[in-house]
Parts: sequence; C-alpha cells; structure tokens
Amino acid sequence: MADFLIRVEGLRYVYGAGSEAPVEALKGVDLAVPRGEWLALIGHNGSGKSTLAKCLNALLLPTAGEVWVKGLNTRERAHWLTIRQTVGIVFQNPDNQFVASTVEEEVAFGPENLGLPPAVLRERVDEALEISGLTALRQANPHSLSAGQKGRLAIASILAMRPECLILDEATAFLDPLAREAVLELLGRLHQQGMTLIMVTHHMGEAALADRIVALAEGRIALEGDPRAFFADEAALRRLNLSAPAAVAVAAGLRERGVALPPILTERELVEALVNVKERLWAR
Amino acid sequence: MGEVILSVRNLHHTYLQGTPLAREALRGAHLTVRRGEIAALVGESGAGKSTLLRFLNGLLTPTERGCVTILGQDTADPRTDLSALRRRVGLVFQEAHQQLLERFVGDDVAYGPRQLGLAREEVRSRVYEALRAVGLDPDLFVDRHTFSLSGGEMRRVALAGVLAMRPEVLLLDEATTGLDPQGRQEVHRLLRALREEQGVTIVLVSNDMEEVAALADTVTVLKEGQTVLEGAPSQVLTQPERLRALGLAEPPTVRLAWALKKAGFPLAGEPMRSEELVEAIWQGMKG
Repeated sequence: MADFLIRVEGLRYVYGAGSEAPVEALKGVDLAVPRGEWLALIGHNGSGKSTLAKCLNALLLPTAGEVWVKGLNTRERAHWLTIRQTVGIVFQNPDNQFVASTVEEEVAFGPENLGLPPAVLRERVDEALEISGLTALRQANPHSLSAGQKGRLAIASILAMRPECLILDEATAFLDPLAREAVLELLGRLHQQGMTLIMVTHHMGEAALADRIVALAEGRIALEGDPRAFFADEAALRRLNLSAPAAVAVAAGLRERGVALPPILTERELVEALVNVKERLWAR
Repeated sequence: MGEVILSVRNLHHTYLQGTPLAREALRGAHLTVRRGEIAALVGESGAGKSTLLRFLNGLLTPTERGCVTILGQDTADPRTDLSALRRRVGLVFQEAHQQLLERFVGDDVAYGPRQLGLAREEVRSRVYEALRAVGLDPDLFVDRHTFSLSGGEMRRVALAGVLAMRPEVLLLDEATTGLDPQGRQEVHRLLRALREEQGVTIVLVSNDMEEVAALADTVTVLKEGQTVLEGAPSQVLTQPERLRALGLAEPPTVRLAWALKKAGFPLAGEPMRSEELVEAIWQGMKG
C-alpha cells in the first residue's frame, strides 16, 4: 500500500453553519496524497480549493468527514502541533502572516518556537533566506517589501520550519514573472528532495509541472489525473471551463486545422513535434 | 488618437524621506496615457508600479522632482481639487480585501455613490449595475457578508465599488491576480466594453504578460523606479532577451515562437497571441 501523507474522506465544510446563510464550500471530497507527490489543486474562484487546503493542516475542521495527516486525525486537538509542523501553508495575502520587524526575525519566528539550538536556528534561517533570494534584505522590515518579495518571504518562513508537506495557496499569484520562475524552480528542487507539495493555482502552466492535477468544482472533485491525461481530456476541460497551458492550446489549434500531432504537454514537446512534421513535409 | 489625459514627467518619490527608513521608489518615471487607451504598466517587483499608480489619482503628489498632470490638472498645484479628481479617476488596489469597508456587499459597493450624495434609487441602480458588470448576481450578493467572500469574489466587489462611481479613468493594480481564468476573461471583456462603450481610459499594473498581450494598447516598463521601455505590446513583448534583462519574462506564446525559430522552423512575424502563433505555424508548414 502506498504511503499516504494525507488522507481525506467524505470531507464536507460549511461556513457559518447554523447561521442564516450557511455556505457549503466542500460537499464531499475524497483525496489521498502519497508522500513526495507534487499535487496541483485547480478550480474556479469559490470552488473550495482554499477551504480544502485549510482543512489539510487543521486550520479548519471538517463539518463532516475526516482528514488524517500521517495517520493523525485533524479533529484531535492533541495532534494539532504535529500536524501543523508536518503541513505548512503559504497564503495568498502574505501580509496577514507577518509578525516580526525584520525579514530575518520573520523567518526565525517559526523555528525559534520549536526550541532549536541557536546554531541550528541560524543555519535554517540562512538557508531559507538563501533559497528564497532574500539574503540581501534580511534587515528590511517585512511590510516595506514589494509584493513579490513578501511572497518569497512567506515561503521562506514556512521552509525554515522544514515541513514534510508545503501547501502554496496561490502563493505565486503576486510574483513577477522571474520571481515566479525562481519560486517554481525552488519547488522543483524541494520536490526532488522528497518534499510533498500541494499547489493551489490558477496558472495552467504551473499545474502542468505537478505529478497530478485535481480540479474542484462546486465543492467536489470534478476531474483528476496526471497533467498529460488531464489536459488531453478536451471535452472535460471545456465542460469545466478550464484553460490549457500555452503549448497544449497551440497544439489543439493546429489539430483543428488538421495537423496530426502526438500528445503534447510541454513547450519542448511541441517544438520537437513541429520540427518533425516540417522535416517529413520537406522530405517529400 | 485621443488627447493625453495622464502625463508623468521625470517623477521622483522617496517613502519616509528624511528618516532612517527612507526608500527611493521612483527615480525618473515617465508615462503618457491618451483618452480611451488601455495602458499596461509592467516591471519586476519593487520597480515602483504601485507607487506610480497612486500618483495617477492624486493619492500621492510630487514632493521632489517631477510633474504629474491628470485630466489637464497639475496635482502639485495647491489650487487643484484632488478629491474632485479622485472621483473621476478610480483606483482598485492590489489588496482588494483592504478596499472593502462595509459588512455587506451592497453597502460596500454603495459607499462611493452615497458619498456623492446621490438619491437612494440612483445608488441602488448603480450598485446593481456595477455588480452585474463584474459578473456577480446582485440579488445573490447584495446581502452577503463581505468576509464570507472568496478571494476572487472580493476582487470583483472591490472593482464594482469603483465602477459604481462611473470613473473616466480606471486604475487597476493587478486586478485579475487571483481570479480564475474564466473570471480573468470576464474582467478583460468588461474592460474592453468600458473602453468601447463608455470611452473609459484604463491603466493596469500586471505581472501577467499574456494579459498585457491580450488587452493593452501600450506597455510601459519600469525598472528601479525608472521608465526604461515603452511601446506597443507587439514591440515590447516580442523581445525576450531585453525583457529578461529588465527582470521580466516574455509571454509563453512568444517563448514558443522563439524556440521554434531557434529549432529551424520557418516562422514569419512576431506572433504574440495563441491564435497568431497557430496561424504563423500553419503558414510555415504550407510554405
């Protein structure tokens, strides 16, 4: 049996349960995340992605159903500390999570509370600043940073906790293109080192980097699969009103004009396929 | 071509000037926007985009070097009525949740029109119209608590609140960030309609080069507080090496086109949008 870091069964979540206008954000979600998987969670605004993410580290508790992290049920208060150390979340609005007056202290805040020895703490902070490209800004005030820098700081402060699973809730949304590439490269490295990644995103090019894509619609899982299978299901993508990464979209446009192409996911695959097609045409 | 309605010349700005926390945000920014245009403002994080946007509705005024003219009025001139200008130039902030002031969506969108002293019925019709424009069903949303909204819904409500003021100029600081692709398309359609039907001038800050390619008439690139490149998207976004040197990246379509050319595929022109690239590849195959 696969080693699942996270398991979700029949998860329902209702905001304002018992109030006049309850909103059912999750209507029965089953999901198992193997250790080391890179999972992309996509779906329209209000489809329940962020709610699901918050249920995965006990920030929200199920209205019905169960969530286990490393076999620990999130309903048990005694497990919360372990669960939150295991699963770290980087949010969309990093301002909400800054507590310190310098970048360095901000990154140190989490690991400091774990009671680590000073040398280990120093090493973790330095490493987290380095990989997130913030070393030069270590003395700056977090609130004086630009949006992109804040995004990277939010990731750095979670990384310093060395979680087993990192959840990014649209954490790249405010980054400029190069900062986004840097963060994605960082995620690639963390993935290679065996970290479990769950990335909530609207960016289909980003989702294509994952091992598996799960699309939520109206609080339920509407489509899932590895990126190749996922983006190949054009009918389902249309039905769910989801877009495709650039290379997939261009390939689809060419197929509509009758060009025979193999399955395409990445830009490199499209370039190779087209060069092949052209060479065959020239050979005639 | 319309007359110039926003003009920024050699603008400098330092936050917390004269304190140890002083930070130079703008050091020689230029911008020209003509009536009815959609102008994009791009640049790496920290380049000064959001700061420049705050000058365009008089939230900030030049205190050092530089000159800002909005709708023909110099914002540094003490005779200029800045609050009157702000009613004509609406700004949607990057952090939409910070723009929501009221408990209920309907009250929030009504906030501006009420400040204008409009009659109840007029306020109500503006609220309904603005919510519909941003793709939210007014009957479902007017009584929703603002804190129960998702991130994308908050952005739409913030935008609706500004639209309800019927501004001549709309300033958007990453207004589609965090919206799903469908929502983004809807906002694009809305912005084009505002421009076509009401002649609204739009300045948008964006990190999404596909969005800029799809929407903008002009692009201004900022780096370290200075304007370093200006032109039509077809000129600016098709220079991947130049863009990367400026801390930006080309749209995926342009990257694909370059990779194809490098691999020896005959591709004419500088396709920038997906449909254009499909067409160029098709032509290349036939040729």
